[in-house]
Amino acid sequence: MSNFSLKPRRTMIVLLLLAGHLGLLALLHMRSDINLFEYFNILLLAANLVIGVILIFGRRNLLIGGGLMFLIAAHALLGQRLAPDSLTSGALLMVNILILYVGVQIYSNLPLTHFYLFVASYLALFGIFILLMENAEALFLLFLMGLAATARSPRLLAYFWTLTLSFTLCQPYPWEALFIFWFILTVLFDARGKQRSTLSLVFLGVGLTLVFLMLLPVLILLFGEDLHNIELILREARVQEAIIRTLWTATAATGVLALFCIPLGYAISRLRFRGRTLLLSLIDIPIVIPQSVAGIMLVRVFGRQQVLGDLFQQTFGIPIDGTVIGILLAQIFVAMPFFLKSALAAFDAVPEELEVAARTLGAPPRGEFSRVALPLAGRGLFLGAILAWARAAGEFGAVLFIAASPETAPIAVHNRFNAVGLFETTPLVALLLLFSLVMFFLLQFVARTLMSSQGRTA
Amino acid sequence: MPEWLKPILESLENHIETASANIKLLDQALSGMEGSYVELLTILALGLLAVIPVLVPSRRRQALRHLNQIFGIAIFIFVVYTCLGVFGMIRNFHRGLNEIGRENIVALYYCSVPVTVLVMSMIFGPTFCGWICPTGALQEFAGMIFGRWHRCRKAEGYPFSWKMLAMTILIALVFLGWMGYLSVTRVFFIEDASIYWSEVLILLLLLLVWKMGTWDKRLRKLRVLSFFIIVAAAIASLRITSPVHFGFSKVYDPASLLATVMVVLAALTVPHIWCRYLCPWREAIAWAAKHSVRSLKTDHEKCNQCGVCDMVCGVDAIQKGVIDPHECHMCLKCVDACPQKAIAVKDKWKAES
Repeated sequence: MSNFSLKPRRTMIVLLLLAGHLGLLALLHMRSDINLFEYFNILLLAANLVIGVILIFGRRNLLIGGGLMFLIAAHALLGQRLAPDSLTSGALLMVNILILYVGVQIYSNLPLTHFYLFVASYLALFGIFILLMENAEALFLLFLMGLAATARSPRLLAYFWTLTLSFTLCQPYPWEALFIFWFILTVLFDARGKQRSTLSLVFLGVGLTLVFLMLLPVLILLFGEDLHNIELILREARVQEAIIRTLWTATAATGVLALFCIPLGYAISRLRFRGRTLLLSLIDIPIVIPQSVAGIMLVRVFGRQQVLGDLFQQTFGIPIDGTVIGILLAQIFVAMPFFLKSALAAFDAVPEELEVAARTLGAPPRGEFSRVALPLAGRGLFLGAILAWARAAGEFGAVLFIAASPETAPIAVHNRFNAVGLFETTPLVALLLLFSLVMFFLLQFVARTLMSSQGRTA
Repeated sequence: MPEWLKPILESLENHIETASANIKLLDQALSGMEGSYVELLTILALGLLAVIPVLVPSRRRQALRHLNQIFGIAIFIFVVYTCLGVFGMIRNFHRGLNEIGRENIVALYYCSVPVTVLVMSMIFGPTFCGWICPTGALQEFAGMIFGRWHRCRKAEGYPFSWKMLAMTILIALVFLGWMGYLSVTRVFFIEDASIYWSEVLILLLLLLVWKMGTWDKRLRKLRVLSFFIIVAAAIASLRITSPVHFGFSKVYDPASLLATVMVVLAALTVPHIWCRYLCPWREAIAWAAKHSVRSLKTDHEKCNQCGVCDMVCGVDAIQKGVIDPHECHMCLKCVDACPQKAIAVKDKWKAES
């Protein structure tokens, strides 16, 4: 006890804090704003006394200890105003102590700007949840904990703030907003390359924002629909039939396209002839013209009492329009350019020298095609087939005119919308969306991983 | 069934039925808590418990840790019992997030446990697993019984052993027998998912008997799978319950009791089996704690590769001083056991990037 001495500055600060706590508490008690003898208030006062004694006689960190005392005093005096009851106030105090700890660590370990960022974040959260929103102390608690966890790195803080914004500002659609925000943030933080500069990052951010604005309806339907409703829709026989019909017609249409477009693509890719450019432009016609126009054109030619339609009915005994054959025809018509162009690109990418080499080694023309060009172009052809399949399955306009009555899935959506309205249709739409996206990504995955490894071995 | 067993089983069944007369069905328990302050107590209690590992003196740390685990069990029984174990925690988190902006108190009520745990993991490391988690505590206490035998097996690199096979078959028999009994007496509800999880546990055990030495690391990937199963179930609002929600969630139905018994029995043969291979919440905590401020660091200058830390670690997260942070439970056994004092808890506030 010989070298025991009180440090005057330390003692002064602690006593000042204690006196402030006790004095203001007594004052508020006299004005009967606070009941001094409530259990919670006595507890806080006792806690502050204990910390004060430890601080005066011990060698603990004054910054943390003083801050702790200040926090406790502030909660004892103001807690009743901000929080609905003492337990909430106590929980808030605990979380604030965590914040204090994190704040002191950031202050002493990280650059000062980071500390200011932290304080600004805290004040912003206080503004949003206590001042702006009613009855949101509970959320304030939750988000303060989030801030404490993420404050030490700017990147984590950015993620945290987008989370906060999605769940407060973007309220009906928080998950969709969160998905978009986090995707954009991840891309921005991860972007690498020689041209990486602020400008290119801004370009990336702005562009992605537009892309996601366009994709928002997709996300909202995907996240927002109740799975139970989707299940109910899936149980309906009519919907099941429509989906199955769509599946097999699109597959058949793709098969027919493959039968014709792969040889044609190969021929156009390898041969040069007059009118080749014209042919290449003509391929695009189904893309260029509106779908309804395509439908009317098909009806004009293949419909009942029309030139080819009549002939077909007389030969085979069934009409084209209003049957599955009509659906197939329309799907083939609109999907053809996608398949043909992909086939062309795929065969163009196969070096002609390889085929020449195969021929010099004695391969017949058939082997040259089936054992050299076809395997090497396989991945491109498969991707083209996926595109054509998706286009055929999703075709609405042309199919509506030529064969509205055996329903395909898009037509079923249309009919349902006309019959019962928007809100009864969204589960069906969500189902189709889910279905097509899963199919599409699955096939893409197959093409990109499995086929590429096969291409390497070939 | 032998005659003498019947009255015992019947009295047991009667007992369970009277105990479950005031069962809170899962759905009721999830929604009937308005006006209570359970969530705030949760934050207080879990927060305090998470700070304790930071504050305890290194002397007698492991004894204090076990005390803390017992506190954790008590807190989960008396305060946060509606969290329904780890699965319920994930499902409630999803629900609670959806309540933000609608019913803020309900949101806090559902989110308080998972948010507290994840936040504490992001700052203080995965201390929840080693110091608080009642499921982990239960397994650890069960594993202590065969502690010496486990250490021998580990030292030999987990070879096939008849002892283990016998134990696994015994456990499987207990499981099958009880399940058969339950299905005969029709107390067993087929929709109680905890049964399926304990079946998975049994299959895992049989697998581990043969191949634990080589498949240990690979099988741990199963946790990711179970995490996504639970998340998908939460989104589809399916009712999936975890094995150890009996007692901790006051759901007194025999199926969950059976599942809890299963986890304890399985932990006798493979220490921390639930945490190692199946716990989805462990996976979430490992992700949250990936860049935690507080972590264990080995001073490789001091380390003489004696392998003491390998022996004490319950989850095989350390190999000759090299720590796998994705598996570490922050129980600090290795810190206390290291004869060279080479492993230490370090705070790192500067972010890596």
